[in-house]
Amino acid sequence: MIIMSADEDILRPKPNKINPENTPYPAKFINLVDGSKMVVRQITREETKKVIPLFYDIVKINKDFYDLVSARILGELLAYVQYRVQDEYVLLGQIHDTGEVLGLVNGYLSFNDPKIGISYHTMTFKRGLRVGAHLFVAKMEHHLDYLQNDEVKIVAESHIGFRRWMDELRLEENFDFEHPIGGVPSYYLTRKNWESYVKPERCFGTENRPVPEEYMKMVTENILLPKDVTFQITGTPKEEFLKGL
Amino acid sequence: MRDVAIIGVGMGSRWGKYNGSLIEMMAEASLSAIDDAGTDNIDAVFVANMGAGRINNQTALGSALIDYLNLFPAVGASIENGPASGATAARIGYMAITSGLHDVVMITGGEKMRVAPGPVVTDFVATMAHPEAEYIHGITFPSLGAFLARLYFEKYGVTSEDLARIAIKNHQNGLKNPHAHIQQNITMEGILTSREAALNNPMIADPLHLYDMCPVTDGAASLIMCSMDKVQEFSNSRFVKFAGTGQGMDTMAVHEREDPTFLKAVDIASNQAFKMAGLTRKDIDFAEIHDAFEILELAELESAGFFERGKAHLAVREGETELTGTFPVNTSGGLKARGHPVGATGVAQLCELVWQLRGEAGERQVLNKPKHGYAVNFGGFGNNVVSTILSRVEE
Repeated sequence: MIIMSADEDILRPKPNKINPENTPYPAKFINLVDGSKMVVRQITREETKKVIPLFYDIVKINKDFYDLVSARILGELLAYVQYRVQDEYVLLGQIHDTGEVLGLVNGYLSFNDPKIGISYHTMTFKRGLRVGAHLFVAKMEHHLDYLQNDEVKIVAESHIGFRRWMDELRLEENFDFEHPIGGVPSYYLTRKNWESYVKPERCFGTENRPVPEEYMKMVTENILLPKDVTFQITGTPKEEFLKGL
Repeated sequence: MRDVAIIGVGMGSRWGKYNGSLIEMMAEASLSAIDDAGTDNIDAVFVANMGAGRINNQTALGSALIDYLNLFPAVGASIENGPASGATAARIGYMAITSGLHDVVMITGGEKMRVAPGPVVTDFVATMAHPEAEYIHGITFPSLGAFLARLYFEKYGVTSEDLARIAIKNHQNGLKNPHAHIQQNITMEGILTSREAALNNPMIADPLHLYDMCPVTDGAASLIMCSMDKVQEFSNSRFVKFAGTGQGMDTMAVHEREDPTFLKAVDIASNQAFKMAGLTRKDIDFAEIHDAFEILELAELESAGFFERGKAHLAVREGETELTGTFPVNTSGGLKARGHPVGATGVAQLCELVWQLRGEAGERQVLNKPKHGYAVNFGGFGNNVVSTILSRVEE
C-alpha cells in the first residue's frame, strides 16, 4: 500500500464515473510496408519513463513542428508518470521482433465529461511507414471502442497532422470547443463517423488480436529507442543536424 | 565526327530534401563530377532543369552555375525539355563536341521540387500536357499513368501485383544506392496483399497506388564529357564511350495516338541510338528506364525493343529484370527509389550507366563486367524521348 500525504492525494486524479477502471487497450499488431509488424500496446507508467529520454533529442528538431509537439508530449508524459493528468494513457508502436519504438500516441478523458475523449498527440520516430496514420487510428479505437467515449476532440499543430487527421479521416469542425492543447481550431471524431467510415475503412490490425506471446514478450522486455532519432526523423545525423541550427 | 567520352560523373549528396539553394545543390553535384574527372578546364556548361523559373523563381541557370563555380571563360545555357531535359542536355553536349565547337562540356541537371506543396508540384508537372486537349480539363500525370495502366491491364493481362513487383525490385536496388532518395524495403504483403495495404499504399489514380509512382525529390547530377581524342590529357582513365543517342517525338495529346500502349517516341529514339552505336538489343547488358510510374517500365522496355509487346511483365515475374537477373533494369533504384527531380533524372541515369560500366556500382554492381548500358529519358507523357547508349572502353 502506498502512503501519500494528504495534499498529494488531492493532487492525484480520481477514477471517473463512467469507466472507473479505464478499460485497457488490448494490444494488436499491424503489417507495415516493409513487411515488419508493429505491435500497438498501452504502456505503464514505468515503461513510459523509459521512453521519455527520447524527447530530449526531439525537442531540438525544428522541422515539421517536431520541436513544438515533442516539448508538449514531454510535459504530458511527465505529468502522466507523476499522476498529474486525469485518465491519461499512452500507446506505443514497436517492431514485433526487436522492440524498436516506432511511434507514440497519447490522450486522456475530459474531467468534466468522461464521455468526451481528448486527443493529445501523435508522433512518429521512423518516417515513411505510415506509422503515425496507424497509431492515430488506434488511439481513436481506444477512445471509442474501449474507453466508452462518444466523441474525441482533436487539434493539429503540424501540417502533416492536419492532412492526416482532419482531411483523411473526414473529421468535423468543432471550432467552438477550446481544446486544452491550445487556441487553435478544434475538430472532433464522432461515433457516427467512427462507425461508418474510420473504423471499417481506416482501422487496421483488429483481427490481429491477441498478439502472439512471443511478440509481447519481445516488446515488453525490449523498449528499444531509435539509435539516432534525429537521423530517423530528418535524414541527417544528429551532430550534423545540430550544426545547422 | 569525333567520338565522345564521359570522363567524370557525380551526384553530390543523397537525394531527397535539400536544405540549400538550387544552385548550391547543382554545384555540389558538379564538383563531384569535376573531382571524378580530375579537371575543371571546361569549355561549356549545359544545365538541365524544367521548373526553376516557376517553383524556385530562378532562371538562367547556366549562367548562375558557371558564376557560382567560377568556371569562366566557360559558356553555358539552360536546357528545358520537360523530364527529358537531362538526356537532352547530354545530347546537346555530345553535338557540341562532335561538331568540334567544344572539347570539354559539363552537363548538370538539377531540380528542387520539395519547396512546393504537393498540389503545386502536380500542377507544375501537368503543364507538360497538351494545353487545350488535356491540361485545361484537369488531366494530371498520375491520371495519364493510370489510363496507360488500365489499358495495359485490359490488353495484356498486367496486374497490380506486376506493378508492385517492379516497385519492390526498384526499392531493393535503391537500398544499395547511397544517392537514392527512398531507401526503404517494401514487401508485397505490406503494400498490396495485407488488409493494412489499403492505408500503407493508398489508391492515388485507379489503378495506380502510391507505390506505383515515383516520389517528389530534390536532386542534382552531373557529368563531364570530352572529345575521345583528348581523354589522355586528363587524369581519369576510367572513361566510357558515349556510343549512341536518339530522340523521338509523338503527339502531345495521348488520345491522338493510334495505340497509346506503344510508345512511338521511345521506339524512334531507341532505333536511332542503336544505329549510331552499331549495336543490337542483345548487346545491352542492363538498362535505366524512366519509371515515373511503374507501368512505364514495362511500356518503355517493350517499345524500346527489349521485350515483345505485352510480354515485359512476364519477364518481371520471372525475375529477369532483377539485379541478378539476365537483364537488370533500374539498378539505381530508378525514378521510383532514386527519385525524380525532373531535370536531373536523365543525367543521373547516365551517371548510373557510367558507374556500372566502370565496375564502381558497389553492392548494386551488375555481374560479369557489363559492356553496354542503355537509358531512356521520357519527356512529357512520351511525346519527346531521348535514348542513350554508353559503352565500356576495352582496356
